[in-house]
Amino acid sequence: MTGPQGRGYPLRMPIDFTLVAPAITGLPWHTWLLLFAAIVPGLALVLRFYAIHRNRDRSSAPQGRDDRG
Amino acid sequence: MTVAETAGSAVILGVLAAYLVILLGIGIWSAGASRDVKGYFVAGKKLPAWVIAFSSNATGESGWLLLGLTGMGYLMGFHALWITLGEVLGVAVAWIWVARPFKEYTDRYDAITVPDYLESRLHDRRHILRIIGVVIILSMVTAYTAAQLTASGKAFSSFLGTSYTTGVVIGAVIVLLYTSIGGFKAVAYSDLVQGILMFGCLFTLPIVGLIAVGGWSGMTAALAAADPALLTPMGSFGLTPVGIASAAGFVGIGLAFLGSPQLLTRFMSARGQGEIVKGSPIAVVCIIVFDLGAVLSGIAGRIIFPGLADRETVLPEMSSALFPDFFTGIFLVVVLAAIMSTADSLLILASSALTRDVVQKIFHPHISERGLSILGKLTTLGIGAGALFFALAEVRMIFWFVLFAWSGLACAFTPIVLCTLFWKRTTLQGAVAGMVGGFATAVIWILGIKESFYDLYEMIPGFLVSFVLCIGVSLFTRPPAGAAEEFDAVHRAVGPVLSRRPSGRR
Repeated sequence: MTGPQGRGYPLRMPIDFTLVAPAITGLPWHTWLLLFAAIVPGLALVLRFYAIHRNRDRSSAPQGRDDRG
Repeated sequence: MTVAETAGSAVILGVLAAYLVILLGIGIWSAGASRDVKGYFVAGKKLPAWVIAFSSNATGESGWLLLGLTGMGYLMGFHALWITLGEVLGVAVAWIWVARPFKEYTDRYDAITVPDYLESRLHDRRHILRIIGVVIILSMVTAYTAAQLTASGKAFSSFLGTSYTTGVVIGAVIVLLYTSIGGFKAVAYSDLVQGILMFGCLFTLPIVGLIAVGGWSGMTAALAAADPALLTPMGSFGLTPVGIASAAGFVGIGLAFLGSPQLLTRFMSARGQGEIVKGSPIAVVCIIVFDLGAVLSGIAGRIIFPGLADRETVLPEMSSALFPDFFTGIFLVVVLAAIMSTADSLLILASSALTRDVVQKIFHPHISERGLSILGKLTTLGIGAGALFFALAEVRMIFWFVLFAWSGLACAFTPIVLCTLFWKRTTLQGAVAGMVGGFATAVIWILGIKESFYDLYEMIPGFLVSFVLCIGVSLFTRPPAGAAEEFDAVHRAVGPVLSRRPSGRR
């Protein structure tokens, strides 16, 4: 049985992640997980917050309103 | 041979002089805004998003970011990423959840200090919280400022070869001049300049460092050869109680961003809720670059300079080895920027505690605005002079106090601020118990328990005790009349945080 492209790759090709991962990255997967956790959740939350409240401020502001206080 | 001897001292001095002139210029430019007490202590609540975002991060990160955190990366490798995790989450949560209700409350009360807010929120007519808060702020801040001036002396001597005393005095004079002339506006705008410099440095240094060690794969291969534990999240500790306590303590550093008074002042001084929304992604991107840049620089530095006697000199060593003279001058300026941006904010905080919280609110409520502003400037100079004395005398007790400064301030104020913002049942008695208990726990933990409890960072037990005491005592006492209605009105005005349902505002 071959892959969808029909180029003869076995569909269940065994991948030894312990060999592949260090070769590409040099870091164990759990260090990547920590790096991801350090950056992505905080950034994602704040971007969502920004998107929601920027639009809310825009839509609820009266015309000609000066937001500069 | 010192760094100054290998680099062009004239170029470095030129960069330094330009930086100091810019700071003084900001102080003079801001002088007009510091003629009344609100102007002097919160810049008239008119600061824009970029300024509050960079100012809060530059204040939160002292010289420790550039010297201490790079040293952590050098010593512990990727284990130091736990600090990045804690600080990024701390900053994100502070801007998303804490900043807007705090701003709403403080605008309603016309509060300009954190004790102002607590007193109004909990109807503390006998000034109990204000007095305890002022005592904690003054004791911690004077020591913390002295430590910053000490770091200034060391930075000058390691970059330029000047004497320690000269470095301390130059640092103190510049900070005191622009802070007392321009007040909080000068502090915030100089923090913006200093924050941008720190951002540029910590964006550039790890990239250049990585290139110097042969790229990412070169770095990881060299680390693996030196010590494979440096590549793992738990470092040399492994998955042991010590390793878990170390990781938890590193994450706990970020808790202080949720409610330390020197950081909350930035939210108060914003010119509106819209600026907090605009500033939030700037603050989070900034802290990611700060922390990740510092850790990766330290890791790259370990490969370039494997046998440093003092790991906290890795940044000066890298800057002189990898960059031309002009940039060595820039890096000295960046280290000074990190030190000064914290020292100036602490001075304003301590001055506001004395002038606003003690003189105006307790003893002389009818003193004129102009008189208070002048008194604020004088107390800034006085507290700065005290810190300068301690730094020059290298008083041992000061360094003992500094151990508690960041965590002590955070444990005293943050849990109480969070309870008052998010729990309408919080009472004055609960807040007093939480403030005293949190602070005392941090101190006792450092002195007697920490070593025998896997070196767990005092912020975690301090927060736990403070929350337990505040909530426990509040449950048995009566909340102030009208506080629940006020709480509901504030949260209606702020609206939902992460949902598109419209708020009650307007």
